[in-house]
Amino acid sequence: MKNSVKMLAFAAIVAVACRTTAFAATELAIGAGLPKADVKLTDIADKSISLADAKGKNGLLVIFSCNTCPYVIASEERYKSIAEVCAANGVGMILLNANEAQRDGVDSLAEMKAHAQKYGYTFSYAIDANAELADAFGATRTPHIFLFNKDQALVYRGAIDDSVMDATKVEKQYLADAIKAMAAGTEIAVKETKAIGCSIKTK
Amino acid sequence: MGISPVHPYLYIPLDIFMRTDLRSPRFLRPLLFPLALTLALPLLAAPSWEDVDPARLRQLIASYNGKKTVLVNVWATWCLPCVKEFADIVRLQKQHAADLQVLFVSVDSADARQAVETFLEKQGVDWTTYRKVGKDQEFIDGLSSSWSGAIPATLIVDKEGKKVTFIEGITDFATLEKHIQTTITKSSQPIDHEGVEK
Repeated sequence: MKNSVKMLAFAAIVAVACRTTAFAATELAIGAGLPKADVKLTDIADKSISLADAKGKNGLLVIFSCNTCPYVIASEERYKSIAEVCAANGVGMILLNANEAQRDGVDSLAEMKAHAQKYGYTFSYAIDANAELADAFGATRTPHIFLFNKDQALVYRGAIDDSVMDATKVEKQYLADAIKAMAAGTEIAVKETKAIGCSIKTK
Repeated sequence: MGISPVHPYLYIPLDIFMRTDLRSPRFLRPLLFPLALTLALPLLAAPSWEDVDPARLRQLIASYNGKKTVLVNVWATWCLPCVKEFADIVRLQKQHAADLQVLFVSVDSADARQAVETFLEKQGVDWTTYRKVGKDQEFIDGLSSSWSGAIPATLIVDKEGKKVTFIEGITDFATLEKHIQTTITKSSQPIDHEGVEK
């Protein structure tokens, strides 16, 4: 009898565990601390870098990105202008590629290097092995933005602006405004936004 | 045994033909309609691809209230998981034609029309499909508060217009079939949000 109860309990635990893994982790909440800050990541310069290393004096911008998503390609020019805003405001910037399912193909380190060269990246672009950071952040898509302040607390998450696929229709510069407000020590007006993007391809 | 008389109906075109001057372009006039019809048939047979904003999508879903369960699937031709699950959704529509209406909403850009129509034709989609227009945030919020924005995304709305299931990420026939069967059988049930199935 006891064995039956134990087996039932075990089955219930396994069922709950399996169901949980099928679900996406919830997006990191505003105010939450920077997860996995010291995990070492391989970047396109063949160097080991952590989020703690990438952080600037006023904060850190983390973008989950990839090499082929049309939403990423449409954002490439905006990555450059955001990098300038980050540099001007003492904020570090790093792109993470969590597409583990395509690591042997279009999202390999070699392809990441070629992509970065093609689009003239001036910031770090690193592999998120096994999507460890994507899971910790609750990142689901590319591009998916997470902005942390100097105390490593999340202050903005979501989209770069309100028109990812068509830069000519942008009306609200959510991310640039958030970076400037954060560096100036003023309140960020819009802290959470959503945009359509490519799903992160984990294994 | 006499010569068979010409059928009376054939006298009219024959008469027109005999009166027509073959050297004149007027000779082509009677051919214009069948020619235009022949050229237009492939266009008429191809599924249309209409623009849809959040308000229009709400109207479309509401138009099936009391009639059918609705499945909204957000996809794109370049999205591999979307393409992978697409045939399952088409199969579902064909199996439950009387009780289910699938609304495919593509997020492809307007200049991808040809690629979209070719894909839809290959998949055997012979009903109207849609292209999302307008800002993402409003569209996402309108579809489901559980949606982070990653595609594919699938929403099931029951006959009473209640959102009963939302799935972000790729799914499969068995999962969808289970949800559709349950929704069709039960007229109403609590919303079941599924997370990203990576």
